[in-house]
Amino acid sequence: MVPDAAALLSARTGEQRLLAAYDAKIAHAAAKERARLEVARAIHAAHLSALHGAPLPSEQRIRHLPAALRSSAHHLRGLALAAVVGENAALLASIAAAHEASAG
Amino acid sequence: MTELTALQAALAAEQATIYGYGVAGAVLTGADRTYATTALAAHTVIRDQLTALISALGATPVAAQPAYRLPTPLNDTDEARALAAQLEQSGAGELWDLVAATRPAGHARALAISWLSDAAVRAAHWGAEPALPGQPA
Repeated sequence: MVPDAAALLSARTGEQRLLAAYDAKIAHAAAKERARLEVARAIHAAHLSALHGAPLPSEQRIRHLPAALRSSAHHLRGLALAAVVGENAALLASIAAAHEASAG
Repeated sequence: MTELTALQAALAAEQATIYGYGVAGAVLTGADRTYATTALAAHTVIRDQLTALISALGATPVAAQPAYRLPTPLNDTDEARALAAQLEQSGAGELWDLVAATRPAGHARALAISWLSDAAVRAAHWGAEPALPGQPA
Protein backbone atom coordinates (compact mmCIF):
# COMPACT_ATOMS: atom_id res chain seq x y z
CA MET A 1 0.00 0.00 0.00
CA VAL A 2 1.40 3.40 -0.98
CA PRO A 3 1.49 5.76 2.04
CA ASP A 4 -1.26 8.38 1.95
CA ALA A 5 -2.82 6.75 -1.14
CA ALA A 6 -6.38 7.36 0.06
CA ALA A 7 -5.64 10.99 0.92
CA LEU A 8 -4.05 11.66 -2.45
CA LEU A 9 -6.94 9.96 -4.26
CA SER A 10 -9.42 12.08 -2.32
CA ALA A 11 -7.48 15.23 -3.22
CA ARG A 12 -7.38 14.22 -6.90
CA THR A 13 -11.13 13.56 -6.97
CA GLY A 14 -11.84 16.93 -5.37
CA GLU A 15 -9.62 18.71 -7.86
CA GLN A 16 -11.29 16.95 -10.81
CA ARG A 17 -14.67 18.05 -9.46
CA LEU A 18 -13.51 21.66 -9.15
CA LEU A 19 -12.03 21.63 -12.65
CA ALA A 20 -15.30 20.33 -14.08
CA ALA A 21 -17.11 23.15 -12.26
CA TYR A 22 -14.76 25.73 -13.75
CA ASP A 23 -15.24 24.23 -17.23
CA ALA A 24 -19.01 24.51 -16.86
CA LYS A 25 -18.76 28.13 -15.72
CA ILE A 26 -16.27 29.05 -18.46
CA ALA A 27 -18.60 27.64 -21.12
CA HIS A 28 -21.30 30.13 -20.15
CA ALA A 29 -19.19 33.11 -19.08
CA ALA A 30 -18.83 36.48 -20.79
CA ALA A 31 -15.38 37.23 -22.24
CA LYS A 32 -14.07 39.28 -19.29
CA GLU A 33 -15.29 36.80 -16.69
CA ARG A 34 -14.00 33.90 -18.82
CA ALA A 35 -10.44 35.26 -18.68
CA ARG A 36 -10.55 35.38 -14.87
CA LEU A 37 -12.03 31.90 -14.65
CA GLU A 38 -9.41 30.48 -17.00
CA VAL A 39 -6.62 31.81 -14.75
CA ALA A 40 -8.27 30.15 -11.76
CA ARG A 41 -8.82 26.94 -13.74
CA ALA A 42 -5.10 26.85 -14.61
CA ILE A 43 -4.28 26.90 -10.89
CA HIS A 44 -6.47 23.85 -10.29
CA ALA A 45 -5.02 22.11 -13.33
CA ALA A 46 -1.59 22.62 -11.73
CA HIS A 47 -2.90 21.09 -8.51
CA LEU A 48 -4.21 18.06 -10.36
CA SER A 49 -0.91 17.69 -12.19
CA ALA A 50 1.01 17.85 -8.89
CA LEU A 51 -1.28 15.09 -7.62
CA HIS A 52 -0.55 13.02 -10.76
CA GLY A 53 -4.15 13.14 -11.91
CA ALA A 54 -5.92 13.96 -15.17
CA PRO A 55 -9.10 15.97 -15.76
CA LEU A 56 -12.29 13.90 -15.81
CA PRO A 57 -15.91 14.90 -16.36
CA SER A 58 -17.82 15.14 -13.12
CA GLU A 59 -21.52 14.48 -12.65
CA GLN A 60 -21.58 16.46 -9.39
CA ARG A 61 -22.79 20.03 -9.78
CA ILE A 62 -21.11 22.87 -7.88
CA ARG A 63 -23.32 25.92 -7.65
CA HIS A 64 -21.23 28.17 -5.43
CA LEU A 65 -17.52 27.95 -6.15
CA PRO A 66 -16.21 30.01 -3.19
CA ALA A 67 -18.10 27.76 -0.75
CA ALA A 68 -16.82 24.66 -2.54
CA LEU A 69 -13.26 26.01 -2.39
CA ARG A 70 -13.50 26.71 1.34
CA SER A 71 -14.97 23.28 1.98
CA SER A 72 -12.19 21.70 -0.08
CA ALA A 73 -9.53 23.70 1.80
CA HIS A 74 -10.92 22.43 5.12
CA HIS A 75 -10.95 18.83 3.86
CA LEU A 76 -7.40 19.09 2.48
CA ARG A 77 -6.06 20.56 5.72
CA GLY A 78 -7.39 17.48 7.51
CA LEU A 79 -5.70 15.21 4.98
CA ALA A 80 -2.43 17.15 5.33
CA LEU A 81 -2.53 16.87 9.11
CA ALA A 82 -2.86 13.09 8.95
CA ALA A 83 -0.48 12.41 6.03
CA VAL A 84 2.32 9.99 6.90
CA VAL A 85 4.83 11.25 4.34
CA GLY A 86 5.99 14.81 5.00
CA GLU A 87 6.12 15.86 1.33
CA ASN A 88 2.55 14.61 0.83
CA ALA A 89 1.48 16.64 3.86
CA ALA A 90 3.16 19.77 2.47
CA LEU A 91 1.59 19.30 -0.98
CA LEU A 92 -1.90 18.82 0.47
CA ALA A 93 -1.44 21.80 2.80
CA SER A 94 -0.26 23.96 -0.11
CA ILE A 95 -3.27 23.03 -2.25
CA ALA A 96 -5.52 23.78 0.73
CA ALA A 97 -3.83 27.16 1.08
CA ALA A 98 -4.36 27.92 -2.62
CA HIS A 99 -8.04 26.98 -2.36
CA GLU A 100 -8.46 29.23 0.67
CA ALA A 101 -6.83 32.11 -1.21
CA SER A 102 -8.95 31.49 -4.33
CA ALA A 103 -12.15 31.47 -2.28
CA GLY A 104 -11.54 35.14 -1.54
CA MET B 1 15.29 18.35 7.59
CA THR B 2 14.50 17.89 11.29
CA GLU B 3 11.50 19.51 12.93
CA LEU B 4 13.80 21.73 15.00
CA THR B 5 15.73 22.92 11.95
CA ALA B 6 12.47 23.71 10.15
CA LEU B 7 11.12 25.53 13.21
CA GLN B 8 14.26 27.66 13.48
CA ALA B 9 14.14 28.49 9.75
CA ALA B 10 10.47 29.43 10.02
CA LEU B 11 11.23 31.64 13.02
CA ALA B 12 14.05 33.39 11.17
CA ALA B 13 11.68 34.01 8.26
CA GLU B 14 9.02 35.41 10.59
CA GLN B 15 11.53 37.81 12.12
CA ALA B 16 12.51 39.05 8.66
CA THR B 17 8.83 39.33 7.68
CA ILE B 18 8.01 41.38 10.78
CA TYR B 19 10.86 43.75 9.96
CA GLY B 20 9.74 43.95 6.32
CA TYR B 21 6.12 44.68 7.21
CA GLY B 22 7.30 47.44 9.52
CA VAL B 23 9.13 49.09 6.64
CA ALA B 24 6.35 48.46 4.08
CA GLY B 25 3.70 49.69 6.48
CA ALA B 26 5.46 53.03 6.77
CA VAL B 27 5.06 53.51 3.00
CA LEU B 28 1.54 52.12 2.58
CA THR B 29 -1.56 54.23 3.13
CA GLY B 30 -5.27 53.79 3.78
CA ALA B 31 -6.74 50.28 3.61
CA ASP B 32 -3.41 48.78 2.59
CA ARG B 33 -1.77 50.19 5.69
CA THR B 34 -4.55 48.82 7.87
CA TYR B 35 -4.17 45.38 6.24
CA ALA B 36 -0.39 45.50 6.71
CA THR B 37 -0.85 46.38 10.38
CA THR B 38 -3.17 43.40 10.85
CA ALA B 39 -0.71 41.14 9.00
CA LEU B 40 2.14 42.41 11.17
CA ALA B 41 0.15 41.53 14.31
CA ALA B 42 -0.56 38.03 12.93
CA HIS B 43 3.13 37.46 12.19
CA THR B 44 4.04 38.59 15.69
CA VAL B 45 1.74 35.92 17.11
CA ILE B 46 3.29 33.27 14.81
CA ARG B 47 6.78 34.36 15.89
CA ASP B 48 5.83 33.92 19.53
CA GLN B 49 4.26 30.51 18.87
CA LEU B 50 7.38 29.35 16.99
CA THR B 51 9.56 30.58 19.84
CA ALA B 52 7.47 28.56 22.30
CA LEU B 53 7.64 25.41 20.13
CA ILE B 54 11.44 25.67 19.87
CA SER B 55 11.83 26.28 23.60
CA ALA B 56 9.61 23.27 24.32
CA LEU B 57 12.11 21.13 22.39
CA GLY B 58 14.85 22.36 24.73
CA ALA B 59 16.55 24.52 22.11
CA THR B 60 17.38 28.22 22.02
CA PRO B 61 15.28 30.15 19.48
CA VAL B 62 17.33 31.87 16.78
CA ALA B 63 17.73 35.59 17.53
CA ALA B 64 16.39 38.31 15.27
CA GLN B 65 18.85 40.43 13.31
CA PRO B 66 19.04 44.17 14.09
CA ALA B 67 18.07 44.86 10.45
CA TYR B 68 17.45 42.98 7.19
CA ARG B 69 18.35 43.65 3.58
CA LEU B 70 15.04 44.11 1.74
CA PRO B 71 14.55 41.77 -1.22
CA THR B 72 13.00 44.48 -3.38
CA PRO B 73 13.38 48.27 -3.65
CA LEU B 74 10.94 50.36 -1.64
CA ASN B 75 10.15 53.78 -3.04
CA ASP B 76 6.39 53.83 -3.42
CA THR B 77 3.19 52.01 -2.51
CA ASP B 78 3.40 49.61 -5.48
CA GLU B 79 6.83 48.49 -4.32
CA ALA B 80 5.60 48.22 -0.75
CA ARG B 81 2.78 45.92 -1.92
CA ALA B 82 5.30 43.88 -3.93
CA LEU B 83 7.52 43.61 -0.86
CA ALA B 84 4.61 42.42 1.27
CA ALA B 85 3.74 39.78 -1.36
CA GLN B 86 7.33 38.61 -1.48
CA LEU B 87 7.55 38.43 2.31
CA GLU B 88 4.47 36.22 2.44
CA GLN B 89 5.72 33.95 -0.32
CA SER B 90 9.14 33.62 1.24
CA GLY B 91 7.60 32.73 4.59
CA ALA B 92 5.31 30.21 2.86
CA GLY B 93 8.40 28.42 1.60
CA GLU B 94 9.60 27.88 5.16
CA LEU B 95 6.12 26.74 6.18
CA TRP B 96 6.06 24.11 3.40
CA ASP B 97 9.28 22.73 4.89
CA LEU B 98 7.83 22.89 8.39
CA VAL B 99 4.70 20.95 7.40
CA ALA B 100 6.92 18.33 5.76
CA ALA B 101 9.22 18.07 8.80
CA THR B 102 6.54 17.69 11.47
CA ARG B 103 4.82 14.59 12.85
CA PRO B 104 1.40 13.53 11.54
CA ALA B 105 -1.43 14.85 13.70
CA GLY B 106 1.01 16.85 15.81
CA HIS B 107 0.43 20.34 17.20
CA ALA B 108 3.32 21.85 15.21
CA ARG B 109 1.99 20.45 11.93
CA ALA B 110 -1.52 21.72 12.64
CA LEU B 111 -0.14 25.21 13.26
CA ALA B 112 2.09 25.10 10.16
CA ILE B 113 -0.85 24.06 7.95
CA SER B 114 -2.96 26.91 9.29
CA TRP B 115 -0.13 29.45 8.92
CA LEU B 116 0.48 28.34 5.31
CA SER B 117 -3.18 28.98 4.44
CA ASP B 118 -3.09 32.39 6.10
CA ALA B 119 0.11 33.28 4.22
CA ALA B 120 -1.50 32.33 0.89
CA VAL B 121 -4.55 34.48 1.65
CA ARG B 122 -2.33 37.46 2.53
CA ALA B 123 -0.13 36.93 -0.55
CA ALA B 124 -3.26 36.89 -2.72
CA HIS B 125 -4.36 40.16 -1.11
CA TRP B 126 -1.03 41.67 -2.23
CA GLY B 127 -1.48 40.32 -5.75
CA ALA B 128 0.51 37.07 -5.67
CA GLU B 129 -1.46 33.86 -6.18
CA PRO B 130 0.89 30.97 -6.95
CA ALA B 131 -0.67 27.60 -7.78
CA LEU B 132 1.21 25.90 -4.96
CA PRO B 133 2.08 28.34 -2.14
CA GLY B 134 5.43 27.58 -0.56
CA GLN B 135 6.43 24.88 -3.04
CA PRO B 136 10.22 24.76 -3.44
CA ALA B 137 11.39 26.08 -6.81
